[in-house]
Amino acid sequence: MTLLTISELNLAVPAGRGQWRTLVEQVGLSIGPGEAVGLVGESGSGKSMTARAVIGLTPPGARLQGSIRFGGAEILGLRGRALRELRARRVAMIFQDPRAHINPVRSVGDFLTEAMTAHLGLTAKAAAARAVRLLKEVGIGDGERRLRQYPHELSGGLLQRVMIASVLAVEPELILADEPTTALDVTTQSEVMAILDESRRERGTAMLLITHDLELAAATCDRLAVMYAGRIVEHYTETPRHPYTVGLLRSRPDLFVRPDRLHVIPGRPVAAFEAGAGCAFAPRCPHTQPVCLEARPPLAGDVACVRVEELA
Amino acid sequence: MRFLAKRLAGLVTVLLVASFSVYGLLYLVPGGPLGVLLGPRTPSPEVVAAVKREWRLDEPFLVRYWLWLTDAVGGDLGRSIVYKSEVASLIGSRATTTGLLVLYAITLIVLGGVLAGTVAALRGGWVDTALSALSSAVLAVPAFVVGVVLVIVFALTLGWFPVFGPGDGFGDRIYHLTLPAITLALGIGGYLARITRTSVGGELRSEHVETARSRGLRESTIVRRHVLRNAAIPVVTVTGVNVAGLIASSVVVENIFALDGLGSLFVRAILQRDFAIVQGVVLVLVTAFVLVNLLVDLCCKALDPRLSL
Amino acid sequence: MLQSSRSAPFALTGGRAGTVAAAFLLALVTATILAPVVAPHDPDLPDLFNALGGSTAAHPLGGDALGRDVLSRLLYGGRTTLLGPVLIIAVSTVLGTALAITAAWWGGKVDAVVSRVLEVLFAVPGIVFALVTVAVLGPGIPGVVTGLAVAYTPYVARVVRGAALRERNLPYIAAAWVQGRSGWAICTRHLLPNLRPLIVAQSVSGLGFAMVDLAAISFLGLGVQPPEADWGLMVKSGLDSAMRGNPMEALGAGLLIALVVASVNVLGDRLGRQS
Repeated sequence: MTLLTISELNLAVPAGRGQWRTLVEQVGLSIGPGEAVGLVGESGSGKSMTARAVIGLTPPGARLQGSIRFGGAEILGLRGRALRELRARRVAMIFQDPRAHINPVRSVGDFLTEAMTAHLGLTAKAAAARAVRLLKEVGIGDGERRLRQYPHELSGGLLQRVMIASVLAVEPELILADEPTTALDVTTQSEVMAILDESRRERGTAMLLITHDLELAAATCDRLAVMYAGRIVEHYTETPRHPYTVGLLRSRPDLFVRPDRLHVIPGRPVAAFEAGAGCAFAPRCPHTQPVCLEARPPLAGDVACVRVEELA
Repeated sequence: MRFLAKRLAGLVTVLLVASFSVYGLLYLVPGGPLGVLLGPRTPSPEVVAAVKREWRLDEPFLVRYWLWLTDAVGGDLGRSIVYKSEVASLIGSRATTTGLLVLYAITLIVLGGVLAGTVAALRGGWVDTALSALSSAVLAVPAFVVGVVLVIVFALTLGWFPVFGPGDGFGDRIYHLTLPAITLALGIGGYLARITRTSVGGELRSEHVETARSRGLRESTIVRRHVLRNAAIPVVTVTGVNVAGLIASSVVVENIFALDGLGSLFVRAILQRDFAIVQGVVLVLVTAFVLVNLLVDLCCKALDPRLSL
Repeated sequence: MLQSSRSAPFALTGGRAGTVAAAFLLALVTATILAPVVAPHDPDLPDLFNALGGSTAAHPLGGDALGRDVLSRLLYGGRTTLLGPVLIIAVSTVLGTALAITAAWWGGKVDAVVSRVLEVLFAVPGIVFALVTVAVLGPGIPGVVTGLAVAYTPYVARVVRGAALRERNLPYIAAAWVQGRSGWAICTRHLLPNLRPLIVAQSVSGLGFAMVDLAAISFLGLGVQPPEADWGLMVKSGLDSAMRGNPMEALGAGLLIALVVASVNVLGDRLGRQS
């Protein structure tokens, strides 16, 4: 029994003159209750759009096809009251840059209690008390004082904890975490990630972690899905097999080995609508053969690479 | 509190400098104050002595400035040489007309401009296009041209509004002030509509509004609590700056519609070289201008916690 | 890169609105310069048969209260109406830029004093300042132009000072300094050329405001004095004519002012975006 099942999801945005730009293509993904899945890819790979499609936060005019089922019910294309209810109690999102994603002219207390009073029917006082408890849980001690402060008075790390607390407040079944630590100082990144992961485990909340950081995802998540040019190119739990994932892992500096040169993947990542007919990664892949350029490789087994058996 | 004290100190400085310059004006005029006071006639020595005594012209400059300033603070702005009466009472009786005109115009600007801009941003589509075109059009036309066109169209041709005069009684006064207030409001209203539209549009697309959406709040709640609240900051700033400017523009508009306000008094005093009135009006206008600016700053500070000045 | 002066000429063309505005202004300026040639009548010659007259073949826009030809007066009146703002902006730009660069270059006390003075000047609305100047110097173009030029100086100075401060902190200035160039040389050879696009954009935008204020003061009877022709004055006298039957004078002058201001604003916007 899965909690979230995305199948054959396609997303395109209008590009003027009746043209469409595909950003997400044939994406399939599932998350069980309490499970953490990492969706990894470079910027422009469509990972963030995939997550946004779950709660209908896609760009205006976007065209969506396929299916997203949550708790057994179809939620793709939900509108109005039904969509609000899904967002209010069941699926919550943590954004990348808390400084931009928290209203700067309202107090921290207002940000934390807004959803509680609106959706849980709590009084302002009860919501404030609960906010203080939640702040303590994410490692912010002097909650009463923090509630009276404004976002510009808090550091990025503290603000992201506030964002996490606000998401925990409504006790959702699924958290969509979109690069939750990317905008933070390196020193606070692991701390914030640990707090997020711990609080969600305690509550048994499922999580879809969107990140460009393979190691972070591997350390936090039960399973990983790797996206390239709008498609999922690989699902894996332990060892990656797709040349792109392998390349990504090799391009990270290793603490214990000092390489002569850091490995780089040549070229730049492409978006789905920029990709040619064959494998979208082929122009950058060290193992490209004519066969790779013929057709988009299907996700056979868990890897979308026609040469995966030869390369193994 | 410290903010207020600092601002008040600045305000007093500005007023002191302004009053000093205004008082000093009299001495810059060719012929000096005596020439201004006596006018073009050639007076007898007795008259000269009398004028000198009345205007304390034998005292040193700074002493006279000090006496004038303390009198002004106490509400005595001297006597008009043309009207032969107290400047303060001349100003007082006309300030109501100007004040009413400016308030009326502000009401129109805020109701019209802010509303139009908000609707344009929230609705989009043809409403947006139409309002943008309209606001660009009214922006380019100077107030006095608008006023003259309004008079020709609505007063002379259609006869809907009276051409001149302030009217009697409150209702009639408002009726008489309608065309002048529209004249005063149109350009700034158009500008404010643009600012509001940009500001509301920007907030609608902002990240923190996306967060509010992701929480499943009602769109009406989001617009009220997050979009309008945040968009209000630049709108209030721009309104404030322009309201201060309105006080200056009213000088011109009063002259089109022959309203007997501060502006008309001012222009007549300049033509008649009645310096006591010129000084008094400038002092009143500058004080109003500075106070409005202070008020706007206070509003912005109340609206935006990030301002710590 | 020591000398990063953006030497591209101020592209007035490009974009339809900008081209139309530039063409309109060019045509208008040419027409007013050539007024003695193209105007059908002497602008100051009264003709009782044409007083408040409507449109005829000889007088396309009719006559004013004294029977002077409205079209000819518009053409001649364009001269003061267009030249006045140019003078105002020229003076205020030179004064404001000099003040701003002095303040930005010396910083410290000089900057503080200049900033305070500007602050006080900002407390007086421009048109009120100009009217006070008129009160002292007497009605007429010299008083108004002086008053408006001084009143506009702080606006120029504020914008230029901000940009000059940013520019001053760029490494190429420090590099020139280290090479032993004098402050004067750096200001005139490097700082000023780099600020030029901004100053030009600012000046063009200012032209619109100067024109409105100057015309408004003439409208009040304190600027250009009759019998001289001027658009602001014509709006005023046209209001009387309109009440007595011929609205062409007021509408013609008003429309021309509005069109010129709109064109200048379009150009100012374009230049502002480029700088």
